[in-house]
Amino acid sequence: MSKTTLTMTTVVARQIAALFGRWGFAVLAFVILGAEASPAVAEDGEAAKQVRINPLMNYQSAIANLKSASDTESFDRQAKDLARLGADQGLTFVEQLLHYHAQNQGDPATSGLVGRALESSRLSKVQIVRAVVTHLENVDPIVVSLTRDWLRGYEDHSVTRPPDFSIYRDLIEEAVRAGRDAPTALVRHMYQSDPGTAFLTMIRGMQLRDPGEIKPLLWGEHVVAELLWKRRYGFVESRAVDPAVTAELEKLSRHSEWWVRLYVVECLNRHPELAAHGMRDRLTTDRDERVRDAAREAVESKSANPARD
Amino acid sequence: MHPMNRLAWLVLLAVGAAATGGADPPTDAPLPIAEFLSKGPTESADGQPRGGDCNACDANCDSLHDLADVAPFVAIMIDGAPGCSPCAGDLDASNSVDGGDVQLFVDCLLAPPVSTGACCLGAGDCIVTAEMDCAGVWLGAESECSAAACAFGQLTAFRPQHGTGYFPFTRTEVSEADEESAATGPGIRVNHPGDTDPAGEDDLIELRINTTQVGIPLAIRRTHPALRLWSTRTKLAGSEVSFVNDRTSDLALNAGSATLWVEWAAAAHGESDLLLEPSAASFTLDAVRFHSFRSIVTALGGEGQVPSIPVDANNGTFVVAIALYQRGFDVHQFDEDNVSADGSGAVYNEIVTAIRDRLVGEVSIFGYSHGGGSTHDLSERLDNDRAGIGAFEIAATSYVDAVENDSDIDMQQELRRPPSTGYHANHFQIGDLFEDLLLDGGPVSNSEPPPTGLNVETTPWGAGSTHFQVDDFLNVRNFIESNIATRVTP
Repeated sequence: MSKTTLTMTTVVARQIAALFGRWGFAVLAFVILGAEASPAVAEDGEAAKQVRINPLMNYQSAIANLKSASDTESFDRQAKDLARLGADQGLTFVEQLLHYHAQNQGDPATSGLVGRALESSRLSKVQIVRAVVTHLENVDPIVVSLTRDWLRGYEDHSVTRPPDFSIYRDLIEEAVRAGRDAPTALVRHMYQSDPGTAFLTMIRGMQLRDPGEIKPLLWGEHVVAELLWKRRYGFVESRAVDPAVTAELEKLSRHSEWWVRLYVVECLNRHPELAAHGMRDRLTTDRDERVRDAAREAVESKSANPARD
Repeated sequence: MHPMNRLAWLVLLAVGAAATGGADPPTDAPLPIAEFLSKGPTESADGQPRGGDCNACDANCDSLHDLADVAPFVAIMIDGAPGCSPCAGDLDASNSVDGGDVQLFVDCLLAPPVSTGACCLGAGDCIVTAEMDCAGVWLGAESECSAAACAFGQLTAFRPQHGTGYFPFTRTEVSEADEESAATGPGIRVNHPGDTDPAGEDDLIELRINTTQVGIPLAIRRTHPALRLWSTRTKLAGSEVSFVNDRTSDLALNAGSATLWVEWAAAAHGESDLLLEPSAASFTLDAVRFHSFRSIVTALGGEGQVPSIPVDANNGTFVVAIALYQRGFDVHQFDEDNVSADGSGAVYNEIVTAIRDRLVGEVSIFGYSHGGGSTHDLSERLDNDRAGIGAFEIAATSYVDAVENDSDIDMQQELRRPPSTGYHANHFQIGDLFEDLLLDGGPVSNSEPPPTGLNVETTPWGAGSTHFQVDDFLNVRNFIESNIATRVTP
């Protein structure tokens, strides 16, 4: 543990002790044991696969103790104060809350406590999403599953309008502008949630500027979306295939950008009947690992759960 | 002397005596034939009655063929006395009793003693006859017409399957009292060609056949050609039971029982009976009336509630689901996580399949807590997508302490009425932090009980309720069950 980290830990611990005097023993134990203060750890080398939350016992105790708040006002105040400890804009609080949720998933009241604590924290949607989105790559599948569920809650899904991926667009844009690639887990999460909206979000987030580059992508998405719209509202059979759609997907599946080809993979996962001959096999051997993995996962999933008549 | 000759001599002597007026025909209890013939072996003879059911050989109409028939036979033949039946003595069916009947009469009396037994003319219609005299199903020598002796075969239908079996319901028999009802009897899903089954073929209804008379072949008659029978639950090739003129051939029973699977293989609704019959007769031993399901009922549990066997008594939504299943509805239980915030998912797919492929026209959805929120989301998507789904009505919906379900941590009260529902019930409570972390439903406009549903905490039975209790009150469960049962066609 670095000196800076330890100092920060101690400061936070003292603050918590001040907030929850009777839990001082927990804080003391925490300091003595020298628990890791760094909330989310992304180890070098395989950052995408080594994200984890190190539980901070003082936070965990304080979160559990919210149930004992004397009244609603007290609950709100404690949650709000917890969220503002330290200088990370609620990051630690949200991550610790996510950890608490994962650890207590079997208790039906846990979701209520977590939801109420987030609501009372007065943290913005952006703050919460930014805090948890990293954990799409957490090593613990329960945390990943809960992260996806939390994020869906902030995506404002509706029957009549597409989900709101605007925060994700910001994150992708930040990464691209900083010279990094778009975060894979986030991109896949979007595609799995709504391939069309995700693709449009990526077209913008990836900072394309050339209309000649943008238009073919927009057109491809439009042609696919139009068929799906016709299917949904009964203008064609529910499993109708349009050669124009297959042709567009074929073109997109040969695009140079991995995230364009990933769109095709996710489309075909949902609508395998739209694939041109050999397209899926080709994508399972794609030159990009992200595309290849997604395509293979779909094939394996289909083999494990074959459709039955 | 050959016994036949002895009897022939007896008859001829009697005839001779009668003809000369020198002897009275014997009228006392006769010597049993067996005793009379004890000095020699018997021979087979034609003892069949003549003239249909009329027994020519039984000249005194006592249902026996013995020496007591000799005197009446002689009296008819010689004296022209009236017979006890239209055919008495006329064994050659010549419409007169004369010498041509003597040998046949003797043959008849020499025939082995005839055993009697229960003769079933209907499931509740039994008489004791000789086998040869039985126009129905003869249950065997010495059998008796005890109560229900002729109701020896039984059909038992079961409630519908889900996926590869019955889970999350238990295998449930349709009761005898319900089995012939077009409402509470066995429902069956339309399974016409082209139907897709996301969970595998599970639209066939199990039918058990039992008989206490293992030696009597049975057949099944149908009253509508849409009903098909299979010996396998997934319609394996070669396992269909064929019908000829809507009747099967002899059923293959094992130790008096068999299981068949019933399919409604037509693209139209209807009702049809399956009738269990003895193969050799046309009366009904037992009947079951099938009706094609016209509705689908969907139950959505709350956060952390999953369908189970046995049902968790604290999962009131699933308790109601089972009650409706037992009452004959096509009920499906789901974890509410199977409904996405935009209404899509496995539950939506199941309902759309029911409407498109199984011709269901009525939908009912009810849920608790986040399951209530999902009830809204599902209704909204179904209503929005009508043009692509087909014609249907959301006939009845219900919330119990409904909470919006955009995610597991969504805490917003679900106060929106499910779009386009014809009837909506709403029960809720207003808790506090200690009780249930303020997880609450709330009033929903135009809900039953009017005007916005019932805050159970205003009732004597629900006072002090928490979010975690409100779905379990008997009053709440009964209200939902009875109102869905009333408003939804099974």
